Amino acid sequence: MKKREIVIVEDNDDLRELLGILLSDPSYELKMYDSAHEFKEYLKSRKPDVIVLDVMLPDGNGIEIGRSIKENPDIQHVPVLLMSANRPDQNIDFADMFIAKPFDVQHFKQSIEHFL
Amino acid sequence: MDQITIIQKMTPIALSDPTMQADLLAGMRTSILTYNTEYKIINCHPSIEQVFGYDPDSLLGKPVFHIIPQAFREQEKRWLQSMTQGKPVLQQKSARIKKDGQEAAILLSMSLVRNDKGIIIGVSQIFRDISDELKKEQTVNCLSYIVGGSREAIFTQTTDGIITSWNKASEQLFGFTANEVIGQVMPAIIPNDYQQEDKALLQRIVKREAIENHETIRQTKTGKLIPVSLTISPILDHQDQVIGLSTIAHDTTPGKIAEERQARLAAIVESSDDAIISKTLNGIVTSWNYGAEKIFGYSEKEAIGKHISFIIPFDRIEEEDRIIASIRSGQKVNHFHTIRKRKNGTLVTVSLTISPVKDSLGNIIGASKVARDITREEKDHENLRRYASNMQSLNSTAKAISEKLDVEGIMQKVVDATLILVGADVGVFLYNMPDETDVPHIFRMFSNDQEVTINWDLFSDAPPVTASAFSEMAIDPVDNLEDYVKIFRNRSIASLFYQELKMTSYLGIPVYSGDRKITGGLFFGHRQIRKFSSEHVDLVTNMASQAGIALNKALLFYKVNELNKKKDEFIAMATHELKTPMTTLSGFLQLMKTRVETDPVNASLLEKALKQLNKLGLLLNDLFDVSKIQAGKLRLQFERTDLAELTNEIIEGYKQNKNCPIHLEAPESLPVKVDRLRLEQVIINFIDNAIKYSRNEAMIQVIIEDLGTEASLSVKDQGIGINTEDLQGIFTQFYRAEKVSKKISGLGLGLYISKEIIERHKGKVKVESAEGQGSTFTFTIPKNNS
Repeated sequence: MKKREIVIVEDNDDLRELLGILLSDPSYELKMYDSAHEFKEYLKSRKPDVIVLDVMLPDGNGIEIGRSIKENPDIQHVPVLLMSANRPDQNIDFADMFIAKPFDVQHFKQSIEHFL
Repeated sequence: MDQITIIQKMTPIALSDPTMQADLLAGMRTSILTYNTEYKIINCHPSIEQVFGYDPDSLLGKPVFHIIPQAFREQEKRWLQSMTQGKPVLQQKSARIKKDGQEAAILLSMSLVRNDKGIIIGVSQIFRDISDELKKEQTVNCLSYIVGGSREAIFTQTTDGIITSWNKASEQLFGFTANEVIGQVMPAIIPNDYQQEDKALLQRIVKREAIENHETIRQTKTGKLIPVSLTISPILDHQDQVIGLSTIAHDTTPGKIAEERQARLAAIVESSDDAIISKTLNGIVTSWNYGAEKIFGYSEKEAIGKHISFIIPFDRIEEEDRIIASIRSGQKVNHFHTIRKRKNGTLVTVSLTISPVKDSLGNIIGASKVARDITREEKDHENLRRYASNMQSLNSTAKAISEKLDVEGIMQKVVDATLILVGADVGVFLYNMPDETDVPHIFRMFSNDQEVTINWDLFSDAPPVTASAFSEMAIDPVDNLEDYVKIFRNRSIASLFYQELKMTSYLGIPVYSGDRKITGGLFFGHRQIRKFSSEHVDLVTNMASQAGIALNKALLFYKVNELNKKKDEFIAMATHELKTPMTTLSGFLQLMKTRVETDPVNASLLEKALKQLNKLGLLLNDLFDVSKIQAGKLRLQFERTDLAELTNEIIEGYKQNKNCPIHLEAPESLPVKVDRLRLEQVIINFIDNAIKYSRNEAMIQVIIEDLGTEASLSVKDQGIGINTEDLQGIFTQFYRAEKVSKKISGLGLGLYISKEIIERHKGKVKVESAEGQGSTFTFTIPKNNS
């Protein structure tokens, strides 16, 4: 069975580590990036099964990245989950889900699995 | 008969000198004529010419009725009849027609003329013109009638005090009848205390002094004292000797005064310099005083009965309709300034005050109008009016700017209002607001006048516009900038007005900061010379001081706002930053928990740690929300949801986690358009509070009601309740009831955030509570928000 590819963009190293442990599963291919730039590079060559985006990134904004994904016909079908400590002011209707930090880890995992 | 006989006897002598006889008879205004049985005049004494105007010869042969008025002809015949029966006609009143057609009253005596045989052949009559005497008699009658009928007590007395006349009103006032007093010494109408005074009055009268309106006391026959006002005049005989005095006693008892007021008012109206006119509701003039005559030039005779429009200029004729309309509705018209027309066609500026005239039943039957000629006052008024209007404009501007807190809004309002006030062509407001490091930062504001197009960029580029330039401002207005700029080359703003804006008149007034330093200036220019006066300087100075106050306030507000903004930014950033490690911490603890589930003690400890972390998260959320609310950035995302369903879900959540009895009373479904997450936050806050302040296991009721266009939700607890004092502040920031603050944790932001969220939904929150009796928190929101 083909592994499901999950990509997470989050600049906090500790949180990435936590998510790594949470989602360590032989059936998942987990990719994690700490900047918008790296994620965009990755996106040029790959089509993940689900994308988790932190809103506040050092070199970009998760909302803008997410919206551009949804406007790109090639990848707009990929579920996008937005994640932030504070609820954004902007309209985030495009996102498939919003996860408020701090979150329930089991709830987080179930959400990912829901979209796979 | 005797008289006739005498005259007949006299005739032979008299006829010897007809002229003398005529003079004699004429002096007595008497004439003699004879007519025959056919009533034809057969003899006529020449004196008839002087008294009645007829040439005696012309009357001969004419019927006597030619000179007897119609009304007296029958009487004449009756007299003739009675004479034949032997009754004489002596000194009877009749009349004769004079040649000029006028009737003259006569006193007539007649006798029959018989021939030798005793047969009646005619009538001889002698008559005297008594017209003048009658007139005199009438005057006397009239006077006595007036005195007798007067409502004033009038009596006369000799200098010895013997009463010689005593009219009806005197009888009424003093109670003594005329019969009782006339010919007697003055009755006891002078109280003992006033005897001396009366003697003094008499002394003055004897010296021919007239005494007017002397206030004193008299007493009546019954001894009652009455206040009177006496007017006493001496009576002189033909040799100018004082032989007596007449007294008019006016009863001044208060009740009487009202009666007199009417008459007094009439006198005032007549003597007033103002035109006082009354008219019917149809505009017909019914009275017209002397003042009206003077102002408008029409006499009373000319004006009464005419329509009032004769004094209204043609182009103002519709004013009368408006005036009458308000009079009809019972409204007074006060000090209405307008123009009216004089008889000679010139116009007069008048101030009109028009009041309705009512009959005794209160129906409006006409209008009284007081017109004051204000042509002369007009100029002063013009000045006053301008002053008042300037003050008003200044005040309204001052008020408007004191309510504003944005620097540019204030500056614009001030420069525009002042431009109009001083009638300038251009206005500039420069204001220096140094930044934290005291570097000048000049705000520039230019008047919004459509007629003048100016390249205002000149001011921002011009190097001379600096803070120091303000301190060089002249207080006196500049009549001609051409001369001024020659002398003071450095007056930078003035030279800009001259060279770049082509202005001639110039006015620059400093604007001060709170610490009395010049921080700005108001500058005005006019293309023509000598356009600004010291009055303008006062106006602009006044405006500048108002502007200075408002700008200081705005500046403080601006600074506070800036700091507040920084604070909010900081809180937003801090809460975000704090949440990141919290998220990780919470995540690791949760992972750990899954691994220690077999160890109940550790699992419980971890559960407790996670609960605390959750609380920390909620506190951070509240802080973040408040910072958003303060910055006005709490944005709502409205979506269709079901309030009943949403509330039910929330309550189910409570039931899973905690063991608390919550009872929901709601319609099956209640669709609303709300920010679902924010509304959830409010409901949770209400329920959390109910739980927090409740006694254990006490029932909490949640009631949802459909109110038509609105929906309401109440959370009712049976907790400790809130006292009246605390109720007032309960929805404000950081507020916590004094009593409970130590026992129950929290920042005191929950209800404040809830209220803000509900208000953003255009709804309302309220609380009903009494100490010890539980509380009910309710919000009401429109069902359809957009």
